[in-house]
Amino acid sequence: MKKSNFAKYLLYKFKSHIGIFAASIVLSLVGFALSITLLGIYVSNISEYYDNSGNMLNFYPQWLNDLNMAIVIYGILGLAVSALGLLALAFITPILSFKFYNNRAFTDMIGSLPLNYTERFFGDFLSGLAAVCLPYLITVPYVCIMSGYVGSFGIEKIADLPANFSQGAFELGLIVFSTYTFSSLMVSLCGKISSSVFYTLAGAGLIPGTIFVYTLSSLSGLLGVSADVMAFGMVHWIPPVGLIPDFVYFWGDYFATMFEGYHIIEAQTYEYVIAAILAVAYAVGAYFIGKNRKTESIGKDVVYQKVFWAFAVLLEATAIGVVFCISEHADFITFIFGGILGFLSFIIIDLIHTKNPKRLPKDIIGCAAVCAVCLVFSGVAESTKGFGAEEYVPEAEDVAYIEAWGNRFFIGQDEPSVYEDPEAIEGVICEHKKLLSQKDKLMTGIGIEIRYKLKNGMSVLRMYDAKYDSGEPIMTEAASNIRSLTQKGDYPFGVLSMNSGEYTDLSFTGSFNYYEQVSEGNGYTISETYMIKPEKTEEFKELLLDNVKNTAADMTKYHDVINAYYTKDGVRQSEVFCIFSEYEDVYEFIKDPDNRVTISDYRKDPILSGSEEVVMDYMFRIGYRTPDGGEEYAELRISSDSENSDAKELISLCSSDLSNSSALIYAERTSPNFGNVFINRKDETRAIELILNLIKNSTANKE
Amino acid sequence: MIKLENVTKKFDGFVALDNVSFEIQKGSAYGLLGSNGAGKSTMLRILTGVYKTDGGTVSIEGESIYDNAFTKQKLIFISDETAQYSNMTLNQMRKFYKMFYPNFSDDIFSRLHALLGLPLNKKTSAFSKGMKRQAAVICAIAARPDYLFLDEAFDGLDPSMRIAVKKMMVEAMADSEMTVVISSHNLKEIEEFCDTVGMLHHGKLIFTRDLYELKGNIHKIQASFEKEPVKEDFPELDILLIEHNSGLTYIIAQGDAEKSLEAVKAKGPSFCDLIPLSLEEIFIYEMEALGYDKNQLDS
Repeated sequence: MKKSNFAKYLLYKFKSHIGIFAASIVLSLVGFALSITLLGIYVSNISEYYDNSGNMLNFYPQWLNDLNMAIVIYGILGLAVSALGLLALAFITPILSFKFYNNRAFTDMIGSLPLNYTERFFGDFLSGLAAVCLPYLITVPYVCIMSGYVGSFGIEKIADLPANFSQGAFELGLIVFSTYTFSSLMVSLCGKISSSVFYTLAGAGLIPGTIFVYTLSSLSGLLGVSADVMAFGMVHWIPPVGLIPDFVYFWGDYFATMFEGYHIIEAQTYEYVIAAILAVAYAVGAYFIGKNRKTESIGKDVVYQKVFWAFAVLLEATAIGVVFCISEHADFITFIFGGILGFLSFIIIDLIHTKNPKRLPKDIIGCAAVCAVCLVFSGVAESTKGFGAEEYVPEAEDVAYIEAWGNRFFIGQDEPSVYEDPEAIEGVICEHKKLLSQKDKLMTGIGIEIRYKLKNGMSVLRMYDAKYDSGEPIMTEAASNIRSLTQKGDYPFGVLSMNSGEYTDLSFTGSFNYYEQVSEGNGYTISETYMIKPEKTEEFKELLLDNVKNTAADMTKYHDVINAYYTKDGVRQSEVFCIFSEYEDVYEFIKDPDNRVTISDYRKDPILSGSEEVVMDYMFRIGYRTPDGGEEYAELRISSDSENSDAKELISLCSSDLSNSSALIYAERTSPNFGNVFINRKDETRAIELILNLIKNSTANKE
Repeated sequence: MIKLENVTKKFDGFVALDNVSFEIQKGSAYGLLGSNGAGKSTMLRILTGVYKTDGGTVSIEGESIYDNAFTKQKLIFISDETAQYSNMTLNQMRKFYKMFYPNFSDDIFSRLHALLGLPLNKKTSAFSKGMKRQAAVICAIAARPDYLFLDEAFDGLDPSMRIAVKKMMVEAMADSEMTVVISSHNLKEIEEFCDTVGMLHHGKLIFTRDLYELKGNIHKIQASFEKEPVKEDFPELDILLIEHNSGLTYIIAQGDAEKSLEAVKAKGPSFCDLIPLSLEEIFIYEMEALGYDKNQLDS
């Protein structure tokens, strides 16, 4: 039994890639590994700083702030550079590893070695893969361990960091792996280095590009369909290019807001699975193409002529598709222009490839055929409204849950309303169908957005708004009906925690819009800020909540905004309510001068004018971090009639002549709410000392 | 033994080898002759499993070669390209061949290396073409394969190195019964080294023959007659060609040389002598006898 030379060959090939291996190690380390290490240093130091700080009101030292900034900048630039480097390695390594396919000298030497095809292929493939990906496989566990270390400090604002870092590292790894397998496939199809480079780059872009432009062009004119989201979704799982925008979007955005606890994860698990399967399929394709290609095809641009024609067709179809996309509604002229553009691209690539103008008649026929197919596709897409996408509403049994939100619900609604109950899902679907039955009055917009999350992991997003001239409150009705489907006892938006009653210091401010007729045909809007009188706030609250619960919103007319401020569990909070004209009770209440005061009223107020001595409360709120990394606030309330010398001095430092832009420390005058007063920058240090003293004294007195 | 039966190879419709059949005996030195584009390199690539045939069969010791690691373990192919070694030093080349060929002899390598005086730890990219070829040949010989295939083996070697390389190969053949197949368009090189030759022309095998037999079977007689004789004057001889130049008659004939000389003498020439033929002349006359035009062969 002959002993296989596979292991020897693999080792020999791997040694020949040692430079790539070293570069890959460096890039992997300067990518995620260094980022997460820096972050670990930052987090451990800031945590130690919290732990050792006797005074919770200490500020971060400058070097920690600098490190924070360095991590963010490094995350954006350093990781981008290392990711690009890794991609370049993954792209170029198969060209070097499969020299057998593009260098005649190696063909003779490697081809006559005592190896069969399978041994040789896997020697070439695995050695290159190991050189590119092995360092990465070492880095990822390190990133996971360090992420866990960072997460163990329990700092709330970066609580998602471990998972995000691990996911990002995994995502980049998948991109690198799929780039490698795709490049391997293309190298197997080509006989020259130059054509391997060209076809790898072209193929990586043209395949998802063609799908993208045709999805976009077939959906762009549809009602309620977010064509760009769907087109992006169609190529989202086609590696390697399909995965890159998500990675760039996610990490670019993520690092820019690293310490604000904000992140976006677009890709779903199933998309990663599909991408991984496709990446492996590229490798399998490379194996079988390599097995069937003739050794003597070295030196040719492409091993199989059909590959060239497939690329030519893709190029032409993409050129036409791009033109279709530019025009929202593809018309006849667009088609002709797209056809000419596609034809020119077809001829150019053919002449470059064949260097034979005699092929022109054949090219015209081929080009015309491709144009015809593109036209038929677009025509069918247009006539069938995106192959039924415009009127597609998922079946209730296929829906896991629905998210609904939009301007027709409430402005200021950060989170969508979620419908999981089967009856609610049926109800939303019913409302969706009712909307679709009035298509002529609708347009695509953000009035109502409905996202179906299907049980199979897919999602369907539809977005509607009313045409400006529809004249009917169809969106309002739909929004109201959808909102009414919310679970009993819940409010259709936000937390509305002021309803719990466990609050203090409730106050309302808002803007109230007048429409004043100054002459026929002309008018203007006056916006004035109002405040509900303190003694009327409870009454107003009940009225507002009652309206919120029971009144449909009608966006056909302008609305006003009410800000509710309250303190709950020692934390100052606010909520925004949009007041529609149907909130008649609320409107009546606001309009009644006995219930409210306006800024113009305040200006006449003896307190504001200073003509009358009044007792006022000043509230300073100090933010600090707890040892476990959480955020807390301490409030210092002092009264203008306080006998405490520190309090008197602090109040004397306050000025109402400054603004946010010229001061960092300010106090809110809370009783009544007259707005803010500010500490001059030159007095900041003294003010902080006074605030600390007052808080310490206050804490000591309580104990 | 290497055996080819009806081997055909086409490149995009161009027939590079057309129904070629022949055998190479184990332990022999086979010279593959032919002009540029005759199909010599293609033939060697088929014999070493680099190319797959489009028709016919090729085997070494009864085993197929293409995609057969077992058979390939017995052979080494040194092509006319040397770029594959550019990133290696001679020492790395030694390790490379040693890795794949368990019979590799460090002793032989050291001896041959010392003989040629090539630097061991210098990248071969800095070598001349001849030095690269020497490096490849000494590694191949040291690997002690059963079958060694060399494409344009002596290209780029200066005369003294040619002699040295030939000597190395002859010794290796004597030591291990190695079969050597060499392609060349240089008849003199083949004549000096090979015992069997085959000639390819436009993808066809014109002939394959034992060189000594070939040389012994054809001869040239120079004579002077009062009246220039014609072919029909020597019915007992198998004359390939009869020429007259400056009063001398040259007779190229097949068969026993002494008998031919006697037959010519019997016609009463004033002068008659047997002249040794070079391999080049033998091939030309042989192929003319087979109906090939000399001018056509030159192309």
